[in-house]
Parts: sequence; structure tokens; C-alpha cells
Amino acid sequence: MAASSSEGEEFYLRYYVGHKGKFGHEFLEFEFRPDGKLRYANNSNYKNDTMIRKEVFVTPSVLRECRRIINDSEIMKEDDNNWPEPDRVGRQELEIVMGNEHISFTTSKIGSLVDVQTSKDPEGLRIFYYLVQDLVIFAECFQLILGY
Amino acid sequence: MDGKVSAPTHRVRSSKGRGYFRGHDFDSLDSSDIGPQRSIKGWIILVTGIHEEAKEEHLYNVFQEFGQVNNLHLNLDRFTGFVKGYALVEYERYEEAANAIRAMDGTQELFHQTIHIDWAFGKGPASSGSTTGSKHHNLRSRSRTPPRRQY
Repeated sequence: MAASSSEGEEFYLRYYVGHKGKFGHEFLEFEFRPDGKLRYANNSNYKNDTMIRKEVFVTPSVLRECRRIINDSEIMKEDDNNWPEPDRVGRQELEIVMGNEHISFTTSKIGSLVDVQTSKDPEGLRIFYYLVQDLVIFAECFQLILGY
Repeated sequence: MDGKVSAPTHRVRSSKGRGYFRGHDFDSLDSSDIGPQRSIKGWIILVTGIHEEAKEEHLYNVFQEFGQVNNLHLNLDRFTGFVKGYALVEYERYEEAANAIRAMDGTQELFHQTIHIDWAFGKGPASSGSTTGSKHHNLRSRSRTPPRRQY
């Protein structure tokens, strides 16, 4: 397989969404580390659900596909300057390192596309909105298939 | 992979965003295990390069030829509604998964576009940037700095 120019560059991804409320700190967080370790935590305190916490090593092929998803979204060109600040309802954090580019975005929870469209940066926030959903699905796929 | 010895340089990296730069700590690469990792239930392979109109049933039928497929995840793109481009396939036995990889990796039979297949899980940390397979070499106690870019 031909190596792309991004082979060998550093890659790191972390996503967090959560809030602190009536039922405690409820959050979802996962992290793809440069060495391939995927750490996943899902803490819902509603009705005393227990925390799901998993760690597993994924192969470079998985990291490569993750990078592809991120590159296709073009999130690295965006900025969170004009995105809503985290608030009482919750926060999202997206941190990505790709080679010599590093983004660390924070914003509030996004309820729906209406929140995107009425924001000060609908184009950028829309990219973020769909990307994090794709990334959550991607990460959850690996921890789900592991079973319990 | 890179045996060059050069003076340590401060790598310039652009940073954007309001978030805290938590950065990341680099685990020490002390594992000597190589090879794919069996999950609790079976052997899982990652298929990439899947055509956006691929049908799950078609994929299932193709991979079923190599052995009993216990699980198949074909995720959709949230924006387009089409297939995102990757799938996880779980086999009961190692040979079945290995055969599927061997037979289908790099082929274009399925959708007239090249798909790639590799193990999804590894036993331990891998050096970043390595190609498919679970080979690693020159493990060091910290993550390697990427080569300095020339502009």
C-alpha cells in the first residue's frame, strides 16, 4: 500500500461531551493516542448506571481511517472563536493533533441543527456537529464489538 | 525507521482553539507483544475504502465466504446518510479472519474501488506511522518526534 504523505506524522484525538447536573457528572469521552491506545469512558449517573470504561489498542489502520474521517471533514481549517461557549447545559471538547497542526475546540452541547443554524458560525459549527457524531459512532463501534 | 541523528529542534506547531491544551502523555513503549488481539468474542478486522452505496447484506455475503461472520458493523455518514466507508467484521476463528485479509486486502472486486483490510485490535502499542500489519521496531521509551518539516 502506498504510504501517504501523512504516514509517520503524529496523531492524537480526544473528544468529550458532558455536563454536571442533577445526577452528577454525566459524560462521554474517548481518546485515540499516538501509540494506538483507544480509551473510552461513558458515565451516566442517571438511575445509578455504572460507568463504562474501556481501553484497547487499535492498529495503525484504525488510526489511519480515523485521520481520513477527520481530513474529509476539513475541521482543521475551522476555529471555535465564534462558537457558543460551554454553559450550564453542557460542554464539548474536541482536541486533535495531526502532524504540526493542533486544534483544541470547546463549545456548548449542540441540541440540533437549529442551534447550528442560529449560531454565529453556522458553517464551521455544522462541520463540527457532524464530525463529532461520526467520531462517536466510530469510537463506539470499537468498544461495542469488544463486548462486556 | 529513522536512524538520523540531528540536533533536537523545536518543532513548530500551529495551535487553535479556546480549549485547554491538555496535550497527551506518551506511554512508554515497553510491550514486546506483537500481533493481533483477540477480543472477548472473536477476531475483528477493519475494512476501509468501502463504496458509499455499499449494501450491508452484500458485504455480509462476501465475508461469510471465509467463515462464520458473528458481527458486522457498517456505519453510516451522519451528514450524507450514505455508508461512511469502513466496516468491522468479526470472525469466530483466527484463520477465517486472516484468510479474509489475505484474499481481499487491496482488491477491487467488491465495488470497483480498492478496499483495505487489516486487524482492528493489536496486543500493544504500535509506533505511529507504521504500515498495515502489526510489526513494530525500534521501540523506545518515549514517542518519536516526527521528522522536521522543510518549508
